[in-house]
Amino acid sequence: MNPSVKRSPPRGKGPRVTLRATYRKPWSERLLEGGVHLAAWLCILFVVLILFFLARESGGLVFKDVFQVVGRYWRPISEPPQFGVLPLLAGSLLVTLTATAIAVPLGVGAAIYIGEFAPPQVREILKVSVEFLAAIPSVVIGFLGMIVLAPLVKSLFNLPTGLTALSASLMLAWMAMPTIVSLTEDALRSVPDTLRHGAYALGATRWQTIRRVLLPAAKPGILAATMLGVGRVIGETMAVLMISGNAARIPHSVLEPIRTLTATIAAEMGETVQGSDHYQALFSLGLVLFGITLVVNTIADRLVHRGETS
Amino acid sequence: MEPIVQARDFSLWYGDFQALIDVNLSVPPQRVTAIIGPSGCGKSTFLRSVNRLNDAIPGVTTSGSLSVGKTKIYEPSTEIVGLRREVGIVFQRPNPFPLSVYDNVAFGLQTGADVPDRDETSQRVVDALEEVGLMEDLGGDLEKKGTSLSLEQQQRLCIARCLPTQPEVLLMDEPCSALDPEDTERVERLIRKLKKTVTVVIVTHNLQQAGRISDICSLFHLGRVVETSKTREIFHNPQEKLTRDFITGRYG
Repeated sequence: MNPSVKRSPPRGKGPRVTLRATYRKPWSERLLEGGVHLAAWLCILFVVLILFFLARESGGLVFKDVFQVVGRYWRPISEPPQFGVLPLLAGSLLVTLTATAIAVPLGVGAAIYIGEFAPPQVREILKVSVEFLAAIPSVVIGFLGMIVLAPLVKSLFNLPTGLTALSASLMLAWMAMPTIVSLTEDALRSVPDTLRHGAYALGATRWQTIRRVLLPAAKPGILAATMLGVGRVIGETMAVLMISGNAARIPHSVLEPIRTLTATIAAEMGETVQGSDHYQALFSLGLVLFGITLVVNTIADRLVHRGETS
Repeated sequence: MEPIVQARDFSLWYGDFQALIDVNLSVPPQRVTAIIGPSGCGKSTFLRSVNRLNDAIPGVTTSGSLSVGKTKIYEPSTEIVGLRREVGIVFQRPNPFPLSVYDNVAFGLQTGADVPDRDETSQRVVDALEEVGLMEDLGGDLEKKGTSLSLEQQQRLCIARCLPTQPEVLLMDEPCSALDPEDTERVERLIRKLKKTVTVVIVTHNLQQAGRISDICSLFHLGRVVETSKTREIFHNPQEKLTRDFITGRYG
């Protein structure tokens, strides 16, 4: 008989002790834990509150006359007023898509250059410049767009006005680029060097390595960067207010003036009577924006997670 | 036997630090040559030199000559891409690309100058996967992501990835150090099988492994070759004191 077997207590007998009960947390630990708990829940609370107030202030205009809200005309001060969201939604979408189409190739390209090709000094200069670009207030960019870009667009395409969807898109693309560049560069940088070496060792050229190994490996990050850039563009207010031309019509090309959801809220909120139909209509625009942002963020989240699990 | 990889007074510097000092080494074809030695002795540096992977590190300079077949590796006229197709390398940690198993193995073919047609490509991919035993393991599911395989399967995938271009030499830099003993045995079996078609140069700090799989063994120490001989000779009848000390575990 092995004595050590004899001595060990029979399995599953005797009192079971929950480990948590044996560990008494010091009060400082509890306080900190409570603090970070609270901070996390506050984030959710704020989102819920924003949604709540948007819904309350839009005051059932949507429910009162849903066809009015999905209408094709936004004429808040004509008689009777019309509060159709479509032209503004179309304006926002047009500007967002155009800006994204410009910003993503440029941003990803810049990130590839910074991450893979640029000599160290150039890389530093570029990175600092990109970060600086991100820090420029949007009103300044709008100002630049107004006095530099708009006249250029006007004469280039021979238009009655240079304040068009194209001008706004270009400026927005410029504003979305820093986000896309730095996040894409992070994504490329986080691709392990072993993959680069592996590709080089198989006789791949630098460009083949980037296209066939690095970009696929960094894809989730690049998609997330794109979606965040889109989020930045769709929420941008000041610059579009200044350079989009502010014509609330459904546009037929990027060379027409348009008006976005955000610019409408910013421009008209000051003139409305609290609680009026116009006021409520503006808040329903806010709801629409909220919805769009939610969708964009959810997609971004999904894309990132899909990359992680596969 | 005409050596396939040959170093003659080959030296390599990282900036001011000389990592390899007058290395002379002849690797015979279709044998497994093991390079052993303590950490930092230059074995990996030498291995990577054969594939010119040290090029990416700034400040690397070389002297002497290193050749694969008739190609002088560090001659300015040598085309690196072509060289690397002749000389495959497997790294310490498996590094499959985040692509499908098929695309991983087809990678070397598709990045080359003359891409074979689709049938030829898939034939060679399947052959390579058969060779390493992955075809069986995966039940023919080549769309699986390379990164989703087990570590040992990933390493065999990385070996398979080198094969479709039919290289002369396969370099291995401690290919089993991330694997458990059972998986190591599988990979070692594979290496012994591979030497029928390709010359293998393997760096290992695992002496037993060198003893198990290699035909020729070369001991490196502080950037120099101490002794190169048949593996049996190295283990049973070392000529140098340093080799004896290393083999018996008194040093290293």
